[in-house]
Amino acid sequence: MTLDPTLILEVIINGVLLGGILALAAIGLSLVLGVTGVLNIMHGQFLVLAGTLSYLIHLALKLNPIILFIIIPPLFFLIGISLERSLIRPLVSRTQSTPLLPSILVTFGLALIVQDVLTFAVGDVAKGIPTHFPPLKFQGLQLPMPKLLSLFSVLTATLSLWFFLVHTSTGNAARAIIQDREGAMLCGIDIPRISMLIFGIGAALAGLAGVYYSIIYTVQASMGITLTMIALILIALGGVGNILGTLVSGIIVGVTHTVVELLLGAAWSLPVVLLLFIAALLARPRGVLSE
Amino acid sequence: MNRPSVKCSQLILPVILVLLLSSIGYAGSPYIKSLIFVLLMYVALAQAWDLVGGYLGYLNLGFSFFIGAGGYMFALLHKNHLGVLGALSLAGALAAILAGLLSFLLFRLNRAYFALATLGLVLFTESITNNLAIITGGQEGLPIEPIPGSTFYAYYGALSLAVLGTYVKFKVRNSTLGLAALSIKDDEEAAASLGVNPFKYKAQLFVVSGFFAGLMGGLLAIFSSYVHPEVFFGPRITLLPVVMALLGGSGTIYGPVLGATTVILLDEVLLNMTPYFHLALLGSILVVVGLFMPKGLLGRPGSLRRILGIPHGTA
Amino acid sequence: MGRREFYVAVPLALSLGFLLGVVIHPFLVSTTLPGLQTPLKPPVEIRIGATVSLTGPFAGDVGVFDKIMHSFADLVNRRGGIFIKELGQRVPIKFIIYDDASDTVTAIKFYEKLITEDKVHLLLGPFSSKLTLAVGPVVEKHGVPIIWTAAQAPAVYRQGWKYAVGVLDERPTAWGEPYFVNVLAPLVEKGDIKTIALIHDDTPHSLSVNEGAKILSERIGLKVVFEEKIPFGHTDFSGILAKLRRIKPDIIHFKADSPPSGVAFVRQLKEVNLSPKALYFAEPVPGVLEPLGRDADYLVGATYTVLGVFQGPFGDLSFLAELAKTANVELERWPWFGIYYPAMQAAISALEASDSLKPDDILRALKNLHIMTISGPLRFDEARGFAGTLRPLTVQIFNGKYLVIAPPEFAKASYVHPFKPWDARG
Repeated sequence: MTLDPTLILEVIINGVLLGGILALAAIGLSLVLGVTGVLNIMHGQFLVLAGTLSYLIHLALKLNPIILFIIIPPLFFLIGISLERSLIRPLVSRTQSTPLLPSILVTFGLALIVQDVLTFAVGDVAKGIPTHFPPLKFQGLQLPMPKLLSLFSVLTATLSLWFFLVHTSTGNAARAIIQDREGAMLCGIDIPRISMLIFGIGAALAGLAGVYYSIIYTVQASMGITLTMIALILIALGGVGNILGTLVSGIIVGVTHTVVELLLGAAWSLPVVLLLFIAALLARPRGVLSE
Repeated sequence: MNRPSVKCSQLILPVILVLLLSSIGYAGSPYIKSLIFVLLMYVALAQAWDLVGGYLGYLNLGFSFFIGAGGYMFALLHKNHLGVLGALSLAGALAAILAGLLSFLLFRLNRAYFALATLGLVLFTESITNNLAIITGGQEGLPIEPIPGSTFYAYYGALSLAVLGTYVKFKVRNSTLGLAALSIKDDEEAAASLGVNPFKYKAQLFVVSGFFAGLMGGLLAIFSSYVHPEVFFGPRITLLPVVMALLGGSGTIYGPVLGATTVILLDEVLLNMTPYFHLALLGSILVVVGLFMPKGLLGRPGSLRRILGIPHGTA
Repeated sequence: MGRREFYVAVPLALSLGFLLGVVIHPFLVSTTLPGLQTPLKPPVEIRIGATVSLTGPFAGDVGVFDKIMHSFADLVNRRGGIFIKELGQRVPIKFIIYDDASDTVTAIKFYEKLITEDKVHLLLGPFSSKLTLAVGPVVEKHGVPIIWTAAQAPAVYRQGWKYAVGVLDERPTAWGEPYFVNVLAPLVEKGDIKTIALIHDDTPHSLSVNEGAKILSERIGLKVVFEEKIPFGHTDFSGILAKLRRIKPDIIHFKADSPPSGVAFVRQLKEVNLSPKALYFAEPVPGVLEPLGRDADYLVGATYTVLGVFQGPFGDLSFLAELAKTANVELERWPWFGIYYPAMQAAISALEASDSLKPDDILRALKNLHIMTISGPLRFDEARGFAGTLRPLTVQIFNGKYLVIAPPEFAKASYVHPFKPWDARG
């Protein structure tokens, strides 16, 4: 079969859309990891929880899915904040300079608990919401609305976060913490308060991604930890705390996935992406797209 | 160089334990033997993992790469009519060689990227194993022809690896290698500037770790009479040794033993009672340990070590 | 103590321990040597053992089957139990079930336990070829009869195991044959359809069904113009759909064990507005139909679980209704109920036909069994390694409901063709 240009273009566009969703799932974690030094393995679980809640709310109330976008992210902002205050803060204060390893234990344990509770509640089965958004027709291509919306969301989120980080004092403080934690402390920056805020934002972003997942794909209790791993891969490529980097690497991964599927077949999408990932890590051992 | 010798009194408990486990290998019911085999397997794996994870501070999140390499190697060799011991030795050797080669690539990375790269590696390997179904059997797996005395091989093999693994941890700890590893873990740059060649020591530990994993993979293949990508490369076997070592006390000699025993026995008790909430219970233990005992159950000198009679300084 | 003594101590401990074991083992709970059968004493009950995946990835497929089995035993015992010839009386049955957590090593361990400690008389197999292949050698070693419930890989039936029988028709064409032969063949003859695209995911069942599709396509004269294997759980089909949109096959044959894959595929098919003349969605489980909603209309597939078509012992609708109520399970939502329940029916029938509760007698009864089950007639075919004869019924989906369209003798509705194009739907 000959490879005509419109075929490749179509596939690349779909790759960008795929990358957008993956990036949306990852940027929250990137931010949290950068600012607090805590690797929140629960991040993927937030997404699954949000997706499951969306499914349940839709089942019970049959509302327009747009409503979900309005209520879920703020809800998860609150969940993120309370998690930070109750569990993460004591953890960080106990371990001072190296919260990473214990944070992995704690958040991994939490992720397992949430997975088990979800399994008990709705079962470890795929849950999704049937929707009917009309597609966007453009230049002979037909683009799916939910994926476009999620790309729009991740671009907006990236832009807003950039604005927040660069042009607000709180954001500047957060960036300072990412770059030099001890220096920031010496400058009198209120690290706990900012960590709490960032945690909330991270959770809200995960929640938003979760709503999208329930519409575009499906969510399942055992998916959480896998999603966190995917996010970690994007973060490693993009640089911890580097939101734009995460977005760019998401898109690169998405496009690679779809193009390889076109050229070599679906069985090779994942191995090629992983191979490129490992190669990228090896090529820039200190960080691939760091600032 | 101060090499503390082993006091007789400290050996009594381990020797009795080995005696007991050894007799179970003959006298126990198949169910108990299977259960203890799993326990011994995870003790061996957790110890092997901890050589790199605990002594060097490099978290290998793709540890099952070596387990699977050993398992599949064994299955393929055995299918081609190589004897059990021969296939097993070659499986371990292959894993060790792979570890050696990979260390050139992986140890160029910092700790965080090392962890991610190993994770990527095992995901990649599982994927490729599925794709190359002609050789590996893919998702249908490779059945292994019945081996007379398979339970014997598997059980005593696992017991030996568990004992050996613990012994290696002890020996390394009190050796030049161990001291170098500790200094690398503490501050790699400082160690390098003082003349320690980090790569040499990292590679050595990595190869030993991989060798143990490969052998254990072969033994698992013998026990299951079957190899399958999900069993040998899947999340369970990849992450459990890590969790067990961290839970029990990464970097200590007996920590992984305690971690493995806790998880396996707790899980068994639970499985017999109710199918639900195993993960939640394990998760809760991890949360508690992470919050209050972040170095693991045996990580810091304290009441638990006193109760178990492990003196400060040797474990 | 120095190092040398240390090197001596451990091997000594190992050998002493081994000798200790040799000495004391006659006095402990010991292994059953193969071939040695337990002395017959009047049993209080018949014990049937199994592991069910109550947790792990397979829980979504069989997670409630323990409740079903226990309720089944309950209801059977309320009706008096099973008559055993050698004892001349009716005996109650009891299921002993453990959770294998969808893990091979756990399954092996628990089948060992069921055989040597719980001393079951008969076993049912675990879910999936993976667990079956792992458990087979163990069961064969101890010589206890087992009925495989859910093993599709042909390899299972080629191991030469003497103590195992399986309920499924494992032949690759068993899944799709009614559809291809009864529904598609006439359309091919008319010249209405000519080409077919095959997509399947990477599991033993899907590989088998896909093989069957190729064989059947050739048999009826359909040309395979596209074939691709996707990894289990794959959810982005951009590349595949781009190719399919250029090829424009008449039929798309899609088989995926993973519900997320299935949901994603149909949704993305709709997104690119690709409407084949027929979409054969081989495994239309409720977990896929629910997220799709009305998008699942016109899909054709196959399922074992359609109640009321066949019966057999304890297979009548009123008994099944009672079972559903006692177990608190909606039977029709569990696609593999249609193969697990016949295994239970076979177990009961074999026990009744058997001369005694000795393993060899039960095994002989099983191998000579010829019964009706809720999924059709069942017997175990020696020529195919004692695989069974259960085949799914071909169904078409409308509004979340399964309508049986083939084989013709069981059809309750006629096939609606063609697939209504996406842009023609509301």
